[in-house]
Amino acid sequence: MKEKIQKNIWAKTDYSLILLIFILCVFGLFILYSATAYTDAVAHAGNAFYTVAKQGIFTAAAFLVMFAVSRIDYHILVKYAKYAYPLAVILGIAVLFFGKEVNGQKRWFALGPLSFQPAEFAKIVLILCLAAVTERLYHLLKSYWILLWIGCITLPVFLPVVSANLSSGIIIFSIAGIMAFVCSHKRGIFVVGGVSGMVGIVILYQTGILEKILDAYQMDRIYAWQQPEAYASTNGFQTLQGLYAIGAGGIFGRGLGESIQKMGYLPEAQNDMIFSIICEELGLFGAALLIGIFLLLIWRFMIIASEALDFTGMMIVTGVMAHISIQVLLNIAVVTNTIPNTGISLPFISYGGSSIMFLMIEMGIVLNIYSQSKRAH
Amino acid sequence: MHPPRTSHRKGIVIVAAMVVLAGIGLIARLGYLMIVKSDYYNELAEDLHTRERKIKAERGAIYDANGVVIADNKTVCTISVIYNQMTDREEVIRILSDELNLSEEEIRKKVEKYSAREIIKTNVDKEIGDRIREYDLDGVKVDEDYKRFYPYGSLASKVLGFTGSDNQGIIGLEVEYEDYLRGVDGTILTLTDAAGIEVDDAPEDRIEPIAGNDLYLSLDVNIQKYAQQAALKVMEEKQAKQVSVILMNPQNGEILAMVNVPEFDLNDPFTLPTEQNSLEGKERQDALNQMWRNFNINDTYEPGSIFKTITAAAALDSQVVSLDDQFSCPGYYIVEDRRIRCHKVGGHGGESFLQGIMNSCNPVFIQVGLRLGVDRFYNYFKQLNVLDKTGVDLPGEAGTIMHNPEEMGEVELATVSFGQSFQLTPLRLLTTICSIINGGTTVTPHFGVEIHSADGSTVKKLSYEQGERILPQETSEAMRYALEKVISEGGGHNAYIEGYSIGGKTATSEKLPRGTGKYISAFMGFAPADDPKVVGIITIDEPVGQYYGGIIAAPVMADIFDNVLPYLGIEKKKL
Repeated sequence: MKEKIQKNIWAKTDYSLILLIFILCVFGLFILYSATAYTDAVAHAGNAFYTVAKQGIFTAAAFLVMFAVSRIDYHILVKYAKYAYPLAVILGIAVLFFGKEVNGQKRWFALGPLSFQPAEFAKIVLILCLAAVTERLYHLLKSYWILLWIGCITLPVFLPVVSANLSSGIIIFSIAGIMAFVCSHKRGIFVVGGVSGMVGIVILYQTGILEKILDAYQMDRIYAWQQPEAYASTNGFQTLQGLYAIGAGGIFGRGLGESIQKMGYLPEAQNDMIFSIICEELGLFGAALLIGIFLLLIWRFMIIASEALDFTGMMIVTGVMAHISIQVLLNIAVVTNTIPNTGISLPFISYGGSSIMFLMIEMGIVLNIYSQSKRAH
Repeated sequence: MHPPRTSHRKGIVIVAAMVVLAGIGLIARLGYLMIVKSDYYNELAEDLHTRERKIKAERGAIYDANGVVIADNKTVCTISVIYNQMTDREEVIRILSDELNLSEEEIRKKVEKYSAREIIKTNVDKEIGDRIREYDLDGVKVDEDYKRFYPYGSLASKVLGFTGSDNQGIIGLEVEYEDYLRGVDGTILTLTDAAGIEVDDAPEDRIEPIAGNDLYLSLDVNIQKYAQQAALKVMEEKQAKQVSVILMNPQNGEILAMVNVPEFDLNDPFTLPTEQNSLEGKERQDALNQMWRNFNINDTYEPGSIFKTITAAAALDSQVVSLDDQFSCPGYYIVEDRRIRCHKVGGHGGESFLQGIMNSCNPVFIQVGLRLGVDRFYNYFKQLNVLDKTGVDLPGEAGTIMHNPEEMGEVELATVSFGQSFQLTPLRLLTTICSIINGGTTVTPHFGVEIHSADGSTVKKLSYEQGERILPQETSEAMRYALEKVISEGGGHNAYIEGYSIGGKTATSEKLPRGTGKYISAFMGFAPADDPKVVGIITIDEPVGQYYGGIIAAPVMADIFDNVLPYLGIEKKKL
């Protein structure tokens, strides 16, 4: 039996998922090179490959990690997730005190040349834990209790993360929310919750109470979102620079490598704002194509989740799908100024070593879930 | 191990569907931004990205009457470093500090500063700039630029004027002829990055600059130099505040020299004399403006006895008097209740009008003025353009300050007739005198003669409104005769030069307020008296000691004439 599994391991691999990930990563490296070549050449004595070379090495390593993880039975990961859970909570709290300060906020641990964001780790741990807990409490899926349980599991992870970084908090909240939505049989409450949440925010804003709840800088971001031109030199600066890039792109873009906004105009061009460089260089056509590839990825996740061997596997893939979807949608929404500015990177494309590493671990888990479901059939 | 249920799968499909919907929504949003708003953002982005860099047009040169260049451009260099392009910073620091005579620390600070472009030194001589360029150092830029340069330093400083850092005229002819001299700047439109650094290989739009036109003046450097020396000499001797001289051709209004000592260094116009150089702010600006003032046209003064020339011309022309008419001077003259004294305390006794002119006798001129009457006298002011600006081609000409004819009583009339109680500029005074002695036609005093395009292909002669007859020949002839007598036999004898027939008139005006012992001593002279080729006026402001114009001003003009007349080819007559 074991031999048979070994033999068929490549036969039971989701090549289409790997292909999509590969396309995204290669596309990401091309765009990253384009976005950083100019500023790198200026900052690093002519070395236009400074950033992209680093990211290339990380991506290659992350691929290896993905394949390695795909060989590990996800049930083992789920089993050990409960030990990782307190670690995620502790790291999340510790980073608030001992983290490296970047742009005035402590979100990172620096380990020599590498830096690592506990929020990334927390996302995977939370997905695995929620999958484990819902499996254990399968009998409660029809009651509201399961929602309370999910809330209780999520909260200790969520709180430290959201106090370090609102965007990561939103992602963790959304992952938990979507996983709860999928497993719970009480869906009406999500509709009620979602609608009343939105109405509540609108009322809070209209009555001016929101202004008192949020920090001043967060309110400023809301004002800048409404009228980026009026805050062109302050909070609206990044957004407006991004919009210049997007608007300048037109239907077919300036052409790969032809972005002007990347020449120091657009802050975080290699990171949170990289999508606007894609728009500027490849136009609406390229941007829509990229969104299309992401939607294909989501579709793959949907298929894998539906065909998962068991409830646990399905829940994990759901979590990963939620993670990727939310991050892609929020990133593009921010870049297009559809929602107020908050720092969210674009999966597989934005620069960042630890980010790609954790993404690939998730992909490895999904690949394992896929291959196990195929082997069972 | 539990199986996934259909309801769970449905949940996943719902989530995926919502994600797809959101994705489509975002594509629609992108479509709006990239198609509908594309032009709007594109335009904003373009403004941000392109930089219009000016190519300075070379400013036209200014030449004197002999074709000697008196305002020129010097190529100077700006040395700057670009941080990211430097490969050997130590070598850059060493060479620049050697070549530019700057300390290593000073250069090190700039070289090691992380910035797009750091200027090390401006206005570096071209030779040094070329030498630095030859080292071919990475990251060191040598940019050439034009800087206005005045080879004669302070010569005619208040006439020529100078230019500011943007190469625009600030005072003098540099302002007046700005439009001709300036030329048209060219532009380079380049694509830049956020730090303002031009992007390599980006296409450039270039519009070539058009160099400014050259200006040719009537001013003669040699005459100007001599007049300036003479003025400086008398200023020092008499410890005067300032001395001004104008020399012009009374026939056509061409100004040959205009001196205002102390002059200032045109190549360093923002440095005040040492005792004032510590001033700051508004006081400093006021002091600079004062230093740059051209007394001959920017300031008015009471002309004193030189104005008697105009009174006499009006009186002769209106035939209220002839040169032979007899007068008597007891040393004063009573007008209404005022007793107006003659400068000669004991009086001149009986004298003809001609002798009255020669003696500069106030009672004679008071009587002549009274014979003219306010209306007629005032009409002559208009006819002789005394009340108008001369139209000289310099900025900031001051107007004449004269009584309102309705409020002019006999006392005012009396004082005006010998040149008191009103003010005009020395140039205004001299310009009217030109008409009186040149046969009776108007002139417009001017410096500018021709405008030449930079390549010399086109020449524009500047024309001025002049030649209108305002006095008959006979009156002019009589005035020349009388004024020659002033020099040969009268109060202006100190301006006499053997071999030349010179006409002229002296003046000593007490500055306001009266009684402070401050005077302006002046002399107006012209030669040859029968056919004037040159007319001049000298004013000495606040001389110490002897202050009579006839004693201190007339000899200076004589000295100038003695040198300038032969230079102009006017030979001495053999006696």
